[in-house]
Amino acid sequence: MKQVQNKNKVKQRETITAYLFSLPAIILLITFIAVPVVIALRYSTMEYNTLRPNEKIFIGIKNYIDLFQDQDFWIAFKNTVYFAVIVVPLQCGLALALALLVSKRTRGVSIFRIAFFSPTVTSMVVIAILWQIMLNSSPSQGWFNAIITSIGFDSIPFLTSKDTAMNSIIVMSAWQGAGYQMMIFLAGIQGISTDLYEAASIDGANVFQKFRYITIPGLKNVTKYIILITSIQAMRLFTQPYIMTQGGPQDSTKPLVYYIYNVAFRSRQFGYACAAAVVYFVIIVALSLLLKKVLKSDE
Amino acid sequence: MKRKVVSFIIMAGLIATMAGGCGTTGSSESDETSNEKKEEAANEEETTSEGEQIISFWKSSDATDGWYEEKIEEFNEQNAGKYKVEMEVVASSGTFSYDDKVSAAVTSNTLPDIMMVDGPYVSTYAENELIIPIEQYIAAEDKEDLMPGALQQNTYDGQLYAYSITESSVALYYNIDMLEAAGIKMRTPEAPEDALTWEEFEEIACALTKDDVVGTNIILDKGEGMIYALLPFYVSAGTNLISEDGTQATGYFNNEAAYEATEFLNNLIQNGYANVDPIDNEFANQKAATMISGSYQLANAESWDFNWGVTYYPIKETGAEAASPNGDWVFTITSSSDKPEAAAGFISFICSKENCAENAKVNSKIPARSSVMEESEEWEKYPNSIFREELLKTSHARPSTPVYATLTSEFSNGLFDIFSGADIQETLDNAAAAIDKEYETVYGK
Repeated sequence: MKQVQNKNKVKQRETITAYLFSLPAIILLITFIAVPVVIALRYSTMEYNTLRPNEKIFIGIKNYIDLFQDQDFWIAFKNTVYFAVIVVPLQCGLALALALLVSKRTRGVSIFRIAFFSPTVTSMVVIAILWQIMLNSSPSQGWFNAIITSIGFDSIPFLTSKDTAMNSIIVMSAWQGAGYQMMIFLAGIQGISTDLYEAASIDGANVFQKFRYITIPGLKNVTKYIILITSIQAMRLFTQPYIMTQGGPQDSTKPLVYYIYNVAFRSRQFGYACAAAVVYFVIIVALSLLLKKVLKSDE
Repeated sequence: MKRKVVSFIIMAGLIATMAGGCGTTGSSESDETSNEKKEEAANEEETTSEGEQIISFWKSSDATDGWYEEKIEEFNEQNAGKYKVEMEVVASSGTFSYDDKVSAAVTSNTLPDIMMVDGPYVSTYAENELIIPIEQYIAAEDKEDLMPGALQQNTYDGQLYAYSITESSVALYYNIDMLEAAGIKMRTPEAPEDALTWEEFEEIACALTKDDVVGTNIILDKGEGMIYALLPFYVSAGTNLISEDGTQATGYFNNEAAYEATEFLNNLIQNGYANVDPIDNEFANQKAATMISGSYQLANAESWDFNWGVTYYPIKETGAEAASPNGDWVFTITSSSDKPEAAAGFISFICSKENCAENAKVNSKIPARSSVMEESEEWEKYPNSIFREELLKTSHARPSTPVYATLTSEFSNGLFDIFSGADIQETLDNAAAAIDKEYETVYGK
């Protein structure tokens, strides 16, 4: 009897300790996620000029009604979705290809690993400025156009035409981000037992078959994780258009976060921006849940 | 047991520090009571250990940062025991980031006592009561000494809200070597009213465009620089982009004059006479043969290894209104300052005649005080005299309206949209509607 009581006490204590240990994380979550969300929700029901914080007027769901009728919001939404839909497979594919390239344990491979990884640890602002110069539409100033014109083609207005600006940003973003996913893929590849490859070789499998039937299934969980984080990152697009195109030309590179920023700081409609931020938050959460479900379902 | 105690202490410490952090975040709700409390707390902090009151001061970074540090040291020595100015230099790029910082500071109630703001924002901040009228703190003779353009920009609703130290202007720089090589003899006008016409300007730009050199550069930066440098094209065509009282853009931003000016600028881009995204220092690197740029380029000109000249800002046609940009960053006192008098004391000190002259020299800018300008021989002589003359005769302040932030971003974004192929009239119409809609939403009641 005494033993049982003691056991219960120990268990209780352990539970308390566990809660205490998770308390810092819970407090951080409340402080930096729950509280701002609640504040944003509150402001989203108000008319609130950024420069007049003491004159907030409650207007109910008017901001939301206006938002759903706001063409600019939908353009920004469409741009964000377009960016994510293209950049996720591109970036993940590139990362996998790079990981396969550098997974061989040959001499000097670490140089390539560092080279492919280095854009990831460089500030996006710096990279955006460098690419802006490289993508300059004038062949005398932009490296890409210098090459293109030197082989006899017309120069391409990479960032100054609405047809090409978003795609230019997509390619740059994939290039910048792929190094990080490459490292995760690399860890995944190295985690696959070499026995499997040896066995496959004995059975007469070629390189492609080994990739298809050993590497890909072996990377399943890693791939799911990568797709999830890349998608969420893609939805947060802001720095690249902010630096390179200011959302233009003709709003073709204006994503949701930039739209929210613009409404809050250029138009100074903070309440309206909060409404957009709340909708954006819901979209992100919904997307994460959806992706998790879809990726889980084929397990 | 020991381990448990230790872990418990660490936990308790962590929680305590975080709870402290939590408290400050919670008060970001800007209820007036919490604001007051915060202000009180802030005031307590705003004294040094020697009992001096701290005057906080924001300025946007530029070539004079070091000069300001010296002057602030001088001011602090003179006022030892009473006041201490603490400067925060805000890195400001061309993309409105300073204004963003101001907006953010308003929401969190952390504006400084003194802030320098770009001229056209005076009206916005004044309308929203972020800054206070300073006429009572500024000596009458100092006010009268301001150049007309500066006085116009610093005044809102009939009251003086800001004081200037320097002024600026924009004109057309040209590469003489390139003109000669192309065999072009450019007319050099004697007065701003006689400036090159758009047609002449375009002809020169066309003739000088070849290989990897463009005829001209019209893009200062992709933010505020657009309206600052290009507004005179619109004024010369006959529009100020918004009604005089700053309340309506439709009929001004999208009228025939605006269309003509936009079409002219767009042609320069579409014909390849100017780059839509020029590299930095395109003119200095001899990749552009002419440029529309500011008086501050005179400081860089010493390092240009080619012959150059500068002439008045182009006008639409003979007889059209001559216009040129003006305006610069100015000193304002915020409404959250509890020591406006001391703040004004610093402004008077830093903008004194001697300091005004010194600062203008450091920055190659035009002194904002008429008396300093008159005494300065430098601005009497060519090339500086071009800017001086423009400033005195043809300067035209950027529009004064509480929705200036939207107006300027609609202007730059609209122009870039047009440069990338958007329909001119449609873009101007949409921009005008967006400005009006915002005025209506925020100030129309």
